[in-house]
Amino acid sequence: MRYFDPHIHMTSRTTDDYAAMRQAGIEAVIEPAFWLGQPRSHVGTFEDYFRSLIGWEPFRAGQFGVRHFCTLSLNPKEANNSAVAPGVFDLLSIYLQKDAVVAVGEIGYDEITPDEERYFQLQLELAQRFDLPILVHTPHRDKKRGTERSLALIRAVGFPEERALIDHNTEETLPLVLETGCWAGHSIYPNTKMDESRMVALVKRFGTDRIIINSAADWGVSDPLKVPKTAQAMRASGISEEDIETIVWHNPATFFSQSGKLDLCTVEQPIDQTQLWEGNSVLRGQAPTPTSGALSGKETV
Amino acid sequence: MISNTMIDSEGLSDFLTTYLHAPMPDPYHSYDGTQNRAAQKVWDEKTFRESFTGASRRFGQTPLYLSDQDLSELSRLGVTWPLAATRDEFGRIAMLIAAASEVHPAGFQSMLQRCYDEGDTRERHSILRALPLLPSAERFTSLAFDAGRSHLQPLFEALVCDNPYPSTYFPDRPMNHMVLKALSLGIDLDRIIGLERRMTPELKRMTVDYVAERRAAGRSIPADVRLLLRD
Repeated sequence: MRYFDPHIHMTSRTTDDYAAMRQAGIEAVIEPAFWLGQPRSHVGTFEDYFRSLIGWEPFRAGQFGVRHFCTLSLNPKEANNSAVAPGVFDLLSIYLQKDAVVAVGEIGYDEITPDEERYFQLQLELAQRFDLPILVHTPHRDKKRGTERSLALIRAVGFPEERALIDHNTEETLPLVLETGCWAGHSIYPNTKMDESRMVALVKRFGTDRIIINSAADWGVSDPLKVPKTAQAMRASGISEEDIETIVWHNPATFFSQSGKLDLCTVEQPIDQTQLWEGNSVLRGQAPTPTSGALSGKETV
Repeated sequence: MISNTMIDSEGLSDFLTTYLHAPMPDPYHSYDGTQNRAAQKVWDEKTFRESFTGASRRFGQTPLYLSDQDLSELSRLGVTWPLAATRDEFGRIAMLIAAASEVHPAGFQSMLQRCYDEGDTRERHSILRALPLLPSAERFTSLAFDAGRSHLQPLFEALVCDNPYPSTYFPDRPMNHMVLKALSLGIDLDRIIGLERRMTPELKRMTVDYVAERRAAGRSIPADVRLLLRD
């Protein structure tokens, strides 16, 4: 089965991870911009991080046959850092327009401060301006309240709920999200957040509609293979292949294709690793594969 | 020696625009001047940068289909090498040629660097393809050196393959390192335009040393070393 991990911080992972992920069937990933474990003190380090997410990391992923997209934002934690927050926010009007950026995120609440709320709202407006869906982080502490406030803000701003993915859900927050039109993400972690067996129970109880799972693997103790491992747990518990495929492929693909930048036909085509570069024949003297007509040889200029 | 004085920029700009058959983005913002003056239009760098980023959607990423007539027209305008493969690349090159003729040279140079720095791989690729077509192209060597050092192979190849820029503007050291890097990446050296003009005793020495290093390590020797070792 092919898998889509729509929340994973590959910047922190090794080439061994990429190889193991591809081996396990992960064909596409989305890397949300978040914090890097240590606070940043310059706007420029954010900008270089954004540049890496739109250029270098997709290239690294492509070498292993994995398609890499990203979401960009001023994250909730660092929205509280007044030395960098305004400058990072100013970068977004250029970077959100890049081809690889399929949503605004992670945005939302961490400690539920006024600054977090202000930048959450400003970025909801940016998402509307650039016609992008949003990926909403929910806090580790006071999660239920943070989730309620996120849903309330989305509704108050009039942001279309079907274009919002609320992430890191638990047994307590999932029913709240499903009552709205928003989608519900679940981060399957070795210790915290959500685990495989609890996720199986949630799918049995709530079904597959608007349900998404991810590994959220990053620089901490985490596992980039949690999506296929959770699928295996679902399989073992008798959940149908069709339902599993809905959760691990069709749902994330459908949600993020609302960006208009995640071409499902492209995602579903295998990467030609001999080319490394989006079919550009300038690079290796190969003509693009003709779709019709009599394109042959060196038609490119 | 290829030099960009042989490029008919205006004709090329017209050709690219006609070929794309799509409106070019307007990098000017209208604004109202004083009450005594009519509305003026001013060049706006951020508008240009946003349009440059948005060119993939404006022009599409589909491959170019150039007829023999198109190719001979390009050749007549001074472009005798494979310039680009996709529509958005053509569009971005056309935008840069137009901007270079409309913006003050120093302003254009800093804007080009900024577009490159904040560009994704597709955007950077288009800039590297456009370099040999821009006026006073020797201004952009530091940007090109950066691409020559890149581990992003698509960028490196955009500079090295079918591009007259390096052999025309690179001094010996970056040129030699670029050639050796191309050799080690398995890029066909006959795609380096003007390489024959840049053969030097130093490049030959570096090649001999490279071959010795490969032999000592028990590794294969790329066939293309012959091109660098012949007299």
